[in-house]
Amino acid sequence: MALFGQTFITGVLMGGIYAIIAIGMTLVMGVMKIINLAHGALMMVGMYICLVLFEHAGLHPYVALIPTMIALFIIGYLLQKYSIGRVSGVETIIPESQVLLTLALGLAITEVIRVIFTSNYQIIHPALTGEYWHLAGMTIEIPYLIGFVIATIFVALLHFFLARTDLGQSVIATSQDKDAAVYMGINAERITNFTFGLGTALAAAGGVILMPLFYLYPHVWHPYLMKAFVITILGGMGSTVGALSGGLILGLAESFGSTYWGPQWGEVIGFIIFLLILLFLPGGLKRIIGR
Amino acid sequence: MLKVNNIDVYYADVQALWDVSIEVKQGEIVSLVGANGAGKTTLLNTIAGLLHPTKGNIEFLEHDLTVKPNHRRAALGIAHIPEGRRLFPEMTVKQNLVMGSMSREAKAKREESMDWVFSLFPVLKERTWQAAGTLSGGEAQMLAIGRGLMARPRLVMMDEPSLGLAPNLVEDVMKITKEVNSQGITVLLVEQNIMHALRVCNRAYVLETGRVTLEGPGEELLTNARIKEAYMGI
Amino acid sequence: MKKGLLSILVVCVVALLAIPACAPAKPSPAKPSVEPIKVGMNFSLTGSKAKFGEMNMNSATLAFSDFGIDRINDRPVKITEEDNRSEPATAKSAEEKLATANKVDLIIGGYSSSCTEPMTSAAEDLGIPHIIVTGSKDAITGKPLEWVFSGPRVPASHYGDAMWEFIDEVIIPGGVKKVALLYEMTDWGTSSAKSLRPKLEERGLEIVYDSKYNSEATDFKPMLSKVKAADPDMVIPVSYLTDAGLLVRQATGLELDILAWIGQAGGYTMPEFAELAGKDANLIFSTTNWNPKAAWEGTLNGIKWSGKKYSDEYVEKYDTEPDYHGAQGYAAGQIAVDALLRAAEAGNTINRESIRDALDNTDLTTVMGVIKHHKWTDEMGHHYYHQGLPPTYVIQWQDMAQEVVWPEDAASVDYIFPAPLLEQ
Repeated sequence: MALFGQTFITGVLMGGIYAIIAIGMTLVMGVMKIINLAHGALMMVGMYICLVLFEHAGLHPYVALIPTMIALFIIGYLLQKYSIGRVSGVETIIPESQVLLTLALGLAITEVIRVIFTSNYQIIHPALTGEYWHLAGMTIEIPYLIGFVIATIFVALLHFFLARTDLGQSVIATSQDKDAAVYMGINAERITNFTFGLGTALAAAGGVILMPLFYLYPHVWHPYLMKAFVITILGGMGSTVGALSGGLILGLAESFGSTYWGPQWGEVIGFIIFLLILLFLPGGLKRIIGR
Repeated sequence: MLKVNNIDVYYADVQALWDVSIEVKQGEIVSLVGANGAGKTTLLNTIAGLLHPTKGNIEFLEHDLTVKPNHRRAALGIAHIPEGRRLFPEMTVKQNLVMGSMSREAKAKREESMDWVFSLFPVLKERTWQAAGTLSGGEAQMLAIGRGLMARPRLVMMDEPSLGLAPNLVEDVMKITKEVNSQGITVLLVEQNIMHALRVCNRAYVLETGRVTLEGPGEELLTNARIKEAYMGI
Repeated sequence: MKKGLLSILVVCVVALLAIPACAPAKPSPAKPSVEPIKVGMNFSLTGSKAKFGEMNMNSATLAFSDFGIDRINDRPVKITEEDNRSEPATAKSAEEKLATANKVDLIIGGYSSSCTEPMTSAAEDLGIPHIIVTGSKDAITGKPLEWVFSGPRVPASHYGDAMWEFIDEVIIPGGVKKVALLYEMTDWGTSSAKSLRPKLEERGLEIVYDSKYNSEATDFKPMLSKVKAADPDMVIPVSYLTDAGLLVRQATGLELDILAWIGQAGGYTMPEFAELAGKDANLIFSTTNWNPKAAWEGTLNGIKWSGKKYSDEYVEKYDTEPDYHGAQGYAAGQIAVDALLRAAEAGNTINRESIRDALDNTDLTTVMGVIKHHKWTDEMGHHYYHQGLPPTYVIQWQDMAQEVVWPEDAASVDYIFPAPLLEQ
């Protein structure tokens, strides 16, 4: 029973953190209709900014979260405005030139970070790292729990923002019909830039949450990009509830898979889910849960 | 109010409008009629800013529209109700209406405008929380018009509002058009259903292959022999 | 005044620019243009294993500069680097590019086994001498290869030679009966586990948990919960670096109650392990193929070297401590330098054939110990070709530092056993 409980808790906590990383991608995908392959690399940039803030300004990652998110919002906004956005609508040989551009950006960003910080693993030990709660034979790593709480708060705030504010509704409207949004007087370009910035900031928040738990190196983002991608497909484009439930499902699937099926299968299960969703539920969970 | 002066418009290399001039005066309903591909939608899209004239200019209430970015036109008081309605399908009726009132002035009057739209289209009120994608054709058209009205426009451009609607609903749409106009809003109407378009309007322009070939009061054109022959098969 | 300075500056700059331009005009004896001796490096410089590949390569390169061979027989020595991005397919194409496009005379390379295997088979096909650095899957030198030499690498099933002695003399008498075996799922982990199992069983140790895992995972708690439920006395993990740190940290968090955690080198011997695992690193054992405290020293090309000197030099240059991956790189460099010098000494033209012949006769003391490329067979009946057998050690983390604890005569401090994860 303790094993089941441990597996469940591990899955839920991890799933919450996956969700915040994925939600940025799902937003951008909703508005721009492209997979942003630079998403993971931008998350990694946020982690390095957090590292610098910790090492040079002594800010705990949970404090550094806010300045890091602001920095990444600005980086995302400018990147979209001056780079990815420019390719939009331009006729090229390859129809998905924006996707390729985001891939190139992701790789370039990684190399720049590698040149600045080397590929050495960077590890920080802020307060609470390695602290545990023991509960009925189960163990909860406290930074996981805090990370999960932060992630769910952000997901809830985002949900509220999208559903209840004019700006949020403009993001949704743009993602559903860009031209119609322009007829409504919405500056769709600016909304797209804003969404990209917001998505990037949320990815950075996900990265920062991971800082007290893991280690950092320039390629750290690879598995998270894939997971975000899976969750985006699983949850459906542009859906916050979808991303949260997708994150939880993936976290739980990985956790139960590695406990009961063998640890080498944990990650495989994510991709099996991905395939099943594409084959049998192409609209994602959004189709089931409404919005 | 709106003056289109001698514009030429191209789609890539193909010229779609040739030296087109029209004028819409305050309080009028003006119809643009013509066959499929005559350039009616092109003209609306150019006024909406989706296309740019290579020659000529467009004036709206002393503003030169050709130099304004397209998302600014809503704030100037032009509402575009596009062909195919272009609702936000996964947003509710209410959210769609809210999206219609994003300019600063419209935002201030949002509650009031919504009551007004609901009084014009009571059925929308019943559907407040329903996703726009689940509305029937007629309801969807009402929502599209309602959403346009939420901007508190001075000029409403309607592109084929009766397209795909059952005949009795087409009558309703024309009634609505009159009603909107009676609220002091100028209407520029594009319609393939020429009988309806001419009957409802004050004046009309006939477009043929990208050129204005006829203009005049609606009733007058209704009796025009050439119109009868070309469009009504009489 | 300012103008005057400026014009002087301009003259200087123009003069400087002009010098190289003038150089060819100088009368010089018509020298036949000499082809450099080209040494290729094929390492994981980006990708998931970049950390190790960099250390391998930096050390190999360091050996070349330390032993001062920038020219041999009037031919300059030129090093060409290829990045295999930690991907097997790229490793193979990088090898082919070095051999055919860059036309190198010798290749040094190979961190992960999955990259080393395609590299060496390409080297064999193309007839170019290749010195393996780390890639430790047994089978890589398990067949006769003419062009592939494996001096500094230790075959995976021999990583633990010192450890088995330690287990027999300390661990089993100390009351350990049940063992959990965890290993990362690439070639290295699986081939290590395969050779660990019979050796554990023949000692009467019961394997109560046995599973592979993905080293790139971030949360091992599901697996560790099962380990805990199996209640072992000892954990033997085969891990890379990040998984090593996380495993120890998360196992400590789960209050896994054991007498010893004996890592199979890999991540457990890297300085970063202590950073990753923090205080939880304390008392963790690991086998290791190298430690700067091991007392190897000697002279090569008239220049004195020692393990300590190499380690200090590396720290100074790259600002991070080398571990055995670095020493293997350095040793590979030493082997290459020695082979090139001997090839030249014998009066041969330095080419692929003469380098291969020199490597065939390597008998050299390196930072990894005495290396010979010979054929031998181990007690399990595995054959090895062109394979050295560097000695191994057991280290224990004590006060955040690695100390050699076995063999006893080489120990830098006494071992601490039992060695539980939890701070008592």
